[in-house]
Amino acid sequence: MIVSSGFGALSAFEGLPALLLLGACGLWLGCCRPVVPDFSIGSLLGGFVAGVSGLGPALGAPGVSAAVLGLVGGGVVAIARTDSFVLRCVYFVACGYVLGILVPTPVEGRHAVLCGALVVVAPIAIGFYLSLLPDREVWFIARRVMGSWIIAVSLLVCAFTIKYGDAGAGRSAVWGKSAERLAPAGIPPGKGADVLAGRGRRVNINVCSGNEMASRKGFSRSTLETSCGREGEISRAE
Amino acid sequence: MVLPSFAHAHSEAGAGGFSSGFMHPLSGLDHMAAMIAVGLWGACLGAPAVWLLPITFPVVMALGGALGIMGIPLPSVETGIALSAILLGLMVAFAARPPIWLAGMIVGFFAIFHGHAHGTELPTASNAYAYAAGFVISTGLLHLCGIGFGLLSRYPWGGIAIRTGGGAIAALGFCFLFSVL
Repeated sequence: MIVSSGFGALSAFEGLPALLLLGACGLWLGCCRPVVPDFSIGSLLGGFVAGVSGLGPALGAPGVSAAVLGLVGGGVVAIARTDSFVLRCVYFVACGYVLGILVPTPVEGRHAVLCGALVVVAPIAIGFYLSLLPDREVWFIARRVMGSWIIAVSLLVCAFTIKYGDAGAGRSAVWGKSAERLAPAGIPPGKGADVLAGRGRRVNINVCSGNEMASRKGFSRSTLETSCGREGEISRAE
Repeated sequence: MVLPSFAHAHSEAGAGGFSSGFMHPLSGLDHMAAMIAVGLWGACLGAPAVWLLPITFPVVMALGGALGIMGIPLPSVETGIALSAILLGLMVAFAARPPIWLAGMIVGFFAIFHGHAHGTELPTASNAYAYAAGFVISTGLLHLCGIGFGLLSRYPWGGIAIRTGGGAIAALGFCFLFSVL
């Protein structure tokens, strides 16, 4: 139960964008040699990022910032830049901040928070240790491939959020009864809105018709219902 | 005309998250053929093209995708995709060895068409992050398939197999082109 709640944080991340950012953090950390190859670096950084991520939804970071950070992260990984410690710290804090907005559901309980933090630590640690591999040709190529993939995804999401706004990035969606509940408030299907969900947490939503949702598989309905419960109220329509 | 409708991946009514993005390049032979050809050609050219071409393709493809998302039209997208399969297939079939910058430009030019096709579908996706990640990873894996096939060149009969594969891709490309026209 505890574990499932904790890993609910991962599903709430919608998986990959957060993992890409975190992996980029770890890769860059490892690229910036000399570093002490100690697990404590990865775990400390992961915990720090997880902690800062709580500020994202509270302060309302714009969605496009995640994509811009991804671009930066992918770029530095691809060219293996070795920037100063201060610059790295700024990047990691910014990543933690925007990661918070990628999490549409609050994690329940301190054990779940711990598990969620581990989920954050893991990709950073993996990226970190990957980058500590000897500088063979395979790693040289792999680093550039990973960097280019991060850049490609970030570019697309950047364009998408510029065109359609934060809610258009589809971090969450509402359909069925929830959509009917929102429609009278002036949000037509297919449009996005900021919703103040339970516990005063602001989440982005897309309002979708039933037919639209029928073609959108792989989305966690329970996550949505948690994000936008009956207590939720519309704070701003876009 | 010759091929069934699944030859083109861009006729889906809607799109979803990671799985939809991942399956998009795999659901159409036009994408598959061109992307495998990129990896195959890179393997034939050897280092650094073997990793430079598969890096160039997704980054430029993302730029094309951004054009599609922003609603900037690109003429003859499907024709461009078909031509990509023809030209890249012929490059492999004739074991062409242009300078690396020219190979990169050819691959990058056609990547724009593939990206634009993806980008125009992206707005209907329920999760843009997951969809984009899905098709970038899928594209990379198709390149990897091509590179893996290209490693056959180590064997005496491998060169013939690769060039035959390139010819088959070019032939498929001609079929796509005729079906588009």
